[in-house]
This record gives sequence, structure tokens and C-alpha cells, in this order.
Amino acid sequence: MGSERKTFRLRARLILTFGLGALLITSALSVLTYLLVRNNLIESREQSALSVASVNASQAERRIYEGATDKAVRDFLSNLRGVRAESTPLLRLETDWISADPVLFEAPESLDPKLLQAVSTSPTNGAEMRYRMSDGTPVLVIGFPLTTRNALYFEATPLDDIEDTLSSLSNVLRLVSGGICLFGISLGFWGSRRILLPIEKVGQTASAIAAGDLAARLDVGNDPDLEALAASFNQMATNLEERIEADAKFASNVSHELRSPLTTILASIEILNSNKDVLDDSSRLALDLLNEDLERFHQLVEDLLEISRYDVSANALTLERFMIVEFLERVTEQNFSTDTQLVFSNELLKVVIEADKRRLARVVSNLLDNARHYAGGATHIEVERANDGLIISVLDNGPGIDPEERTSIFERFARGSEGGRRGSGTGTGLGLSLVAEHVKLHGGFVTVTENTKSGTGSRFTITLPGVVR
Amino acid sequence: MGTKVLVVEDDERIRTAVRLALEKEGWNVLDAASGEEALQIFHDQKCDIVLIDIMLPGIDGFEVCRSIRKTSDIPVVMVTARDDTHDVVAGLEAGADDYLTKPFAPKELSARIRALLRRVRLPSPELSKLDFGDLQILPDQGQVIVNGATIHLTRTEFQLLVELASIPGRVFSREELLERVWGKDYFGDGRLVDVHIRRLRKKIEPEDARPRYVITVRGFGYKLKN
Repeated sequence: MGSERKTFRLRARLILTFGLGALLITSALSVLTYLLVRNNLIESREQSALSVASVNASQAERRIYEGATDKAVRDFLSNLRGVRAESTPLLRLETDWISADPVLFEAPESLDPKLLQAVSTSPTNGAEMRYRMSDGTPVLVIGFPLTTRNALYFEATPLDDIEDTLSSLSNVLRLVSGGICLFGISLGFWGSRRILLPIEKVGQTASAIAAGDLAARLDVGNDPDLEALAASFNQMATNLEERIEADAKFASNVSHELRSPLTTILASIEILNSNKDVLDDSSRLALDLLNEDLERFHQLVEDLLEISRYDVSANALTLERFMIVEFLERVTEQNFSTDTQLVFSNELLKVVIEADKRRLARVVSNLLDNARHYAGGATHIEVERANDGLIISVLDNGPGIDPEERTSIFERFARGSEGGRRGSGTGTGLGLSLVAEHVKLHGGFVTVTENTKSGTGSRFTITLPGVVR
Repeated sequence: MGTKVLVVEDDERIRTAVRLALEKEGWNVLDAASGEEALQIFHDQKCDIVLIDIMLPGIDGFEVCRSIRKTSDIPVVMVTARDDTHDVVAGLEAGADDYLTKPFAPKELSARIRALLRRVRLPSPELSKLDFGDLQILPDQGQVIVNGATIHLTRTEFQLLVELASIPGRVFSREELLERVWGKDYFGDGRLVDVHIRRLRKKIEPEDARPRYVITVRGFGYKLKN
């Protein structure tokens, strides 16, 4: 159904919003956290590395100044302690490069030329730089120019520990973001259900009312936000119910009021009929007209009463079990449709159906009447077995029914486009609508199609459940 | 002297028209405009059949029917303006033998009256007593004896019992019983049979919740246990 699809779309949108919202917020928080932590770690590392390197550089300067040998300088470097155990110093004397032992950091391979340039031209402050060595290790290299022998002091501190920390942090943040996003989606799923529940209830209740359950009302619990909706919805339903009931009651009252005068008329006309032979010709003719229309009027009142029973819902079925073929034979006989042929296979002879006999008799005889009035009489009644039900078809060779009118003829007081062809004393305009309503009450349905057997005319098909055996 | 039909109807027009039509059919008609008047006439004159409209001012049709039933088993036909189950069953429970729904044609009414006044048919002329041990039916005397005690049945109840007893053990469908007892066609109202069976059981069964004589055969009808 369309409404279901719309609800689903609305729900999908809500879920998506929740999911995306959660993702957006957690992503932003994660990135911020990552950047802050990263800057913090690197900055503090830089500061401590800078102060240690600056002390180390001045010690190295003093040694050189005091005229230590290259060997002594190398030993001194090897024993220097950096900010990390892995920190490695490097010294240039004149043009010679002295590395600490073991050689982890050496010139010119490991030294970035830009840094070398920056340190060489720097007056005293030195310079620092972060970059990756050829083996991929991230390092922070700090360099100072020394005041003697054109010496330069460098100290390289690997940043791999920070990088590891940041990488773990980033993994954790990613995981958390994903989790929160999922949580958002499930929150959306759950929330949308909660939010849409009243809407669904409204839909269900409206459908129930549309399907004829006029007493259906909306119950949304005691949520004050929804109370207003429920109250106005229920008010609307009540108004509708009252209106429909009033209409039905009116029709029912009118038909009931017709009963008494009709009883008087029926009794009176019978007296006139029994005195027919003493009437003159014109009075007799008038009496004939009166009889014909009275019969029709009687039928109309009966039909109206039957219809109004539907509308005031006093329409419980009185179920009985009976043999369908015998039943149809009796109906045809009683309807004086002696030219109508009953077509059935022998296995159907003993088939018993559970149905409201009076109503079903009305259904079949109304179809026979309809065929007589508009199509020169029914030619066949066909009975077939269909699962646990029956298909009863009434066929005629009349002019047939336009495809556009094949549903509307089952409406009350439906008039075909060729309504003018109805002769005197024909149907009441309620017959086929009664057929449809009686059959529906049994849980079946009625359709009309072309009579393909004879090529002209109609086939009215009743599908009925309720076969007992 | 013809058969006397008492017509109880508060609507003067209907009462007059129905009386005229029934007289045309050859019945002797008495009429009453209220329940009180009806009971008075019923008390003073012997009627053969009563036709009662349910909706009456003062005491209603059900009450009139119950009063008549206290002293008489003559056939009673209820006339209802509604054919919903409630009125029909209530009328039958009050003791009516049959019902008619307005509007009706007098010919139809006449047919009902004739069916109800028909003499009880004997299953076979030589059979003057149907004996089922504790239950004995004497068709020509119109008597039923249960455990030695004579039970009072209305004519319709009696005829229903005799029909069932005509072939003990055979299942009679509602249609058959309607046709044989009420003279109705195949499309008669099965509730007539059901309510009368219920009334019959109340009178002849030792325990009407667990019937010994009149047995229901679900989906088919009723039979008399032999």
C-alpha cells in the first residue's frame, strides 16, 4: 500500500538523519581530539628535546674549546644522553662529521640539506626540523652552530613512539566514531518507530473506519502531545459515525413507516381483485396497472428494508447446511425460470454448503430477475467447485454490460447507460447491490464478465466460500 | 358456522383491510384493537386461530400470546414489523406457532391459517399409539404420555412430535419439517423448527439440556430416538 511505503520512506529518512548526525558529530570530535593530542605531544617533545639539545650543544662546545681530541669528542658524543635513549647527536668539526657510536644518525645521508643550510646560517639560535629519514623513521632534528672551529651540533630524536601513540589513538577514535554512528542509527530506528507509531495507529484506525468499522477509535495512550490529535481524530470519527447512523436510521424508518400502509393496500387490493368481474373495462385496466406497480413497490420496500438492515448492522448471517444443487433447483423453480439450464458435474450433487439460505436464495433469484428484466432471461446457471468454495455463474444472451459499468451496476440504484430500455414492472435498482452485499457478507464476491460461451450477453459470477463436504 | 379468526391489530386501517380480505377468503373474522380487548373477546367467544400484532398499546403482543397460552393451545400467528431475529424468536418463545412480517398479502396469511388448522396427520391409519417406552403418543386422542403423566402440547408441537415419530430414527431436515408441519416451502425459516423443538424438549424431556428423545443431528436436522 502507498501509505506503508511513505511511512517507510519517512522512517528511512529519520534513521539516515540520526546516523549521519552521529557520524558527523563524532568525526568532528575525533579529528579535534586527534589534532590536539598530536600537537600537544609533539610540542612537549620539541620543547624538552630543544632544552636537552641546547645543554648538550654547550657541553660539546666546551669540550671542543678545551681542545679535546677527535677521539675524545667521539667518546663524549657516544656517552651523551638525549631526551630519549634513542636520541643521537652528530657533530661537524671544520668539514669532518663525527657521529656517536653506534651510528644511527650520520651526515650527509641522514641530515636534511635544508636544515644544514638553516643551521649554518643561523647566528646562535639554531634551527629544528621534522622529517622522515630514508628508512622511514620520523625524526626531530635540532641543530646549533657552535662558536669554535666552525662546528655544528645536531641532535636527532626519533618520533616513532609519538607516531605509534597517535596511530593507536586514531584507531580508537575511528572505532568509537563507528560505534556511535551505529548507535545513532539504532537510536533512529527505535526513535522513528516510537515517533511513527501514532501515525501508524492513525493510519490503521482510518483504514478500519474506511473498511466499515465505524466504531474504531484512536488510542495513543496518555501522551499530551498526541492527545489533541487523537481527540480531533476521534471526534471526526464520531461525527462520521453519527452521520452515517442517522442516514441509515432515516432510510430504515422510512421503510418501516411504509410497511403499515403497504399492508393495508395489499389487503385492500385483494378485495378489489376478487371483485374484478363486476368492474368495467377501464376500472379493470386501472386495477391491472395498480397491481403491477404495487408488486414493484412491494419489492422495492422489501429491498429497502433488506438494505437498511445492512446499514444499521443488524445483518448477522443465519448459517445452515444444505445441498447446493438441490437448493439451486428450488430457487430456479420458485423463480419460474424454467428455461434456465442448471449445469454441474455429478460430484457436485452431494456437495453441502454452509450459508444463509434465505440470503443466498435472494442472491440467485435477484440474478435471475436481473437476467429476465434486461437480457431475456438466464440461459444457464453453472456450478463449479473451487478449493473450499463454489463458483456459481448465471449466464444470459442479452446485450451484455459495458466494461465501464461492470462495477457500478452493483451500486445502489445504479442505472445503466441504457436505463431507458427498462420496461414496465422491472427491477427496483437495488437487486444487484443486494446481491453484492449478501455475497460479501458470506466472505465471497461477485463479478460480471462477457458471456464468452455464446459470444453475447453477460456472465455473473459469484464466488462463495463455505463448502462443508 | 365457519372458522373464527381473531385479528389483533391497533392500526384501524390494517385491521379493517385484513378483516375484509380474510372475510372474502371465507373466514369468520373477529377483531380487536388492543391486547385487553383481544383477551376479552378470546375469553367470551371461542376462536380457532389468533393473529397478533406485536406492537400494541398497553399489553403487547408477546404478553397477549402468553396469556392465551396459559389456557389454550389454539394456533397463534405473530405479526412483526421487523424480521430481525430478536422479535421473531421472542414471539415464538412466547408461544406463537408461526410469524408473518409486514407487509404481507392476505393470501399468504390465509395459507398460513389453513396450514395451522389442518388436522394432525396420522403416520398410518391403523396406528393408534406410538410407544417409545417412557414416551407414548396417542395421535387420534392428541395425547402424549411421559412416564405415565399426560403432557400438554400445543397443536403445532404435537404435530411436530408426530412427524418425528412417524419414522423413528430417521433424520428429518428442517425443510422437511417446515413443509410437513407448517406447510411451508423449501425457503421457510429454520428458526421456526428450532424454537418449537426447544419448546417440545422442555415439555417432554426429563433434562432438556441432555435430550433423550428428540436428538439434534448437527448440520442435518432432528430425529426421534427409537
